Amino acid sequence: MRRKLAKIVSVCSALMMVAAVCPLSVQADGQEEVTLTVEASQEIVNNIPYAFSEDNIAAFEEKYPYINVELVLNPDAQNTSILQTKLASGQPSDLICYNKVSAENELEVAKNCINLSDEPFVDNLADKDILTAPDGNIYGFAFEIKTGGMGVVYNKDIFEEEGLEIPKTYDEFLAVCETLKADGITPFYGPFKDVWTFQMWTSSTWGYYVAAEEPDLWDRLNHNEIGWDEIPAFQESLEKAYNLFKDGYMQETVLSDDYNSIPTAMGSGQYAMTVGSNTTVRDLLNAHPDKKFDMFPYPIYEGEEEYMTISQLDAEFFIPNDARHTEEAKLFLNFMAQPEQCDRAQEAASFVPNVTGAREPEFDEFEGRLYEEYNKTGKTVLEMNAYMKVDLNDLWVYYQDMFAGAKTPQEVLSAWDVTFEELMQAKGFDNF
Amino acid sequence: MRRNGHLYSYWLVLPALFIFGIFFVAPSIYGIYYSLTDWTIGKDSISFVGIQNYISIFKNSELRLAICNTFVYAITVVIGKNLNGLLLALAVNTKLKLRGYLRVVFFLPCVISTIIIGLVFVPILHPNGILNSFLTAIGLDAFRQSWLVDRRIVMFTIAGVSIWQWTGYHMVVYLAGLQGIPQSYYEAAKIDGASALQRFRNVTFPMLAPAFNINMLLSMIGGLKVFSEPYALTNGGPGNASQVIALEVFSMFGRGQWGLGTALNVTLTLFVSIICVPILINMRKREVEE
Repeated sequence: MRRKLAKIVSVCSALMMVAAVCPLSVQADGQEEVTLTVEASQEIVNNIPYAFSEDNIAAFEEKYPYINVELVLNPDAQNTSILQTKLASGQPSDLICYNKVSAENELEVAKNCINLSDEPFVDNLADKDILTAPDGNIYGFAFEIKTGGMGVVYNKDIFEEEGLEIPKTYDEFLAVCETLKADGITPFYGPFKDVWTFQMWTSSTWGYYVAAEEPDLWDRLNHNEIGWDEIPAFQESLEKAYNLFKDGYMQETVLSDDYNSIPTAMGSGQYAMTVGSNTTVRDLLNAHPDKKFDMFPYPIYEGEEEYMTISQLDAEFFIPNDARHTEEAKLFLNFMAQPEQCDRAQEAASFVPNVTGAREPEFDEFEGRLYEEYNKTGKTVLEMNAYMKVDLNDLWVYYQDMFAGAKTPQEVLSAWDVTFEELMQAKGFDNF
Repeated sequence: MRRNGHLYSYWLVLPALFIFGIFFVAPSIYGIYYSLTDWTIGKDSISFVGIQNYISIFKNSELRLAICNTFVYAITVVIGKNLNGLLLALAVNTKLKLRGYLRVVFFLPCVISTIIIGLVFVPILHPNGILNSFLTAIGLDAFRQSWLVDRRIVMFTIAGVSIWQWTGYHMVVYLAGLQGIPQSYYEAAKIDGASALQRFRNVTFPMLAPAFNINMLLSMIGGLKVFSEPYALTNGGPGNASQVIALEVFSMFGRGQWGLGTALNVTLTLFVSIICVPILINMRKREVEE
């Protein structure tokens, strides 16, 4: 009896092991089932909802019933590390979604991803250049041509109630802060617990400064011809931000409050302004339909108020060389880069599509104004991050050190100089 | 089992030795080798650089801070977990009516994921969170702190959360030790006129030595290798204020500084060995004596 029982248990165990190793993943028509993994950060999925339209994914799965799309979400702070490690170890997801220039620099897509220049979707693109990498190849697909703006997000109702105008200079900005503070409103909400939030300030303001004053500065920094702490304008921008905090124009809990707390804080009427992008404004308008929110350029440097900083092309999908299901991943991109899918994605959020034949977006008042006022007139400058070749997370951590009182703005830049050199060395760049 | 000679042949140990060699010894040796190279994400070939990575570690102020934080954390949790664990064990070893229930309650936090605990404690420890509100409500405004933001106390806050989570686990080990002490020892001591304190000092404490050693060892190793607690509560922040060695290793690997990251990992292993091996030897000695 015992022997029989042992035999039965052994056979069952063996069957279970075989089943675990070789899942019965074959459909009725003989087509093997495939799980197509798409990897991205939580932030990118939240901020670029049209790129991850559930309706589009459902339509894709309906057209290709043997493919299941699985979204792999990474925490924002670890996203770059996770993707780099997976690429380096040869175990990436089938598709990865990342910002274009950052992907070229941080993920080295030219080395790690498949050249898609000859894929059918390329012929559908309204603007091929925007997707073209420095080596002339196209490594991915992104839905949008226009990129989001970044600036000071503000509560229009509070500004109207207080009779305040949008500040054009830093002095005017301080005067606005003083008026608000005197009336018991904290002028600026700093959600700097997340390391990536304050960098919107520097990426915008430094982006403007370099574009307007020293266009070759990014090249000089990337070739080690100048140090970060040798640029007084960078220090000036940091000092102005830190002084806002030090002078009580920000809440004391800047390092305890994260980006997700913005809708509650800004909707409470206790705060008038914060860092952010058009996505932040959209989130605020969705969370508080009865309130008005808008955005203006940072007034840190003279002349900056005229220009909106735009981010690099975001949410581009790449197929790693070592992906397990490259053919299915190509099917996914070719499917998404069709007018029908772009139109469907507009329901998740409005965007200017990079696909010929797709319908134009129906922007709301806020997005429409940004588009008309800045994008169409060319009054945009590209953010700093688009020019960087290494992961900037350490620099963002030093910003937190500044708000924690552990580093002065000068020390932030000096510390970043050292780290920047190490990171550039690690990447094998010349002159470092 | 036969005392002289061997019941089983030595070759029977080979499968286990093979697995141990493949999955532990070989990676460790490789790790030591890679820690002496300039292996990074951007290099196609690896060059031997001697102890350059180790010099870089001790020259870098942020890594020195991470090492310092790791030791502060380890010492704090060793003291906190053992002291609280012992006190709780003594308490629940008495004839309390609710002792069974209390043992479960005290043990429960250690079965909860540290990430979940992080998610729960972050809002509690927010400057406007439950803890500070509670302190205000009971008139202890002076004790309000920016628990996870103030650079001076953030490591102690993280250690505090860890102590809360793991005290029950150490309590169980102490409890097992306490219950292994024969009652006759206490009876004899009582007959000899020993006070409660004398009984604890001369009977309980010496007899608890094995439990004490194992708890010390486990909490010290756990403390030095800490990762998930600061990761869940602060992610090393604000800035680098709560960085620890394991978090730095994780970041370095992510940034592609593999040689340097491996060197830091080897350094951590050395720290753990230097501190814990003497404790282990001491334990073995005691076992032999017993």
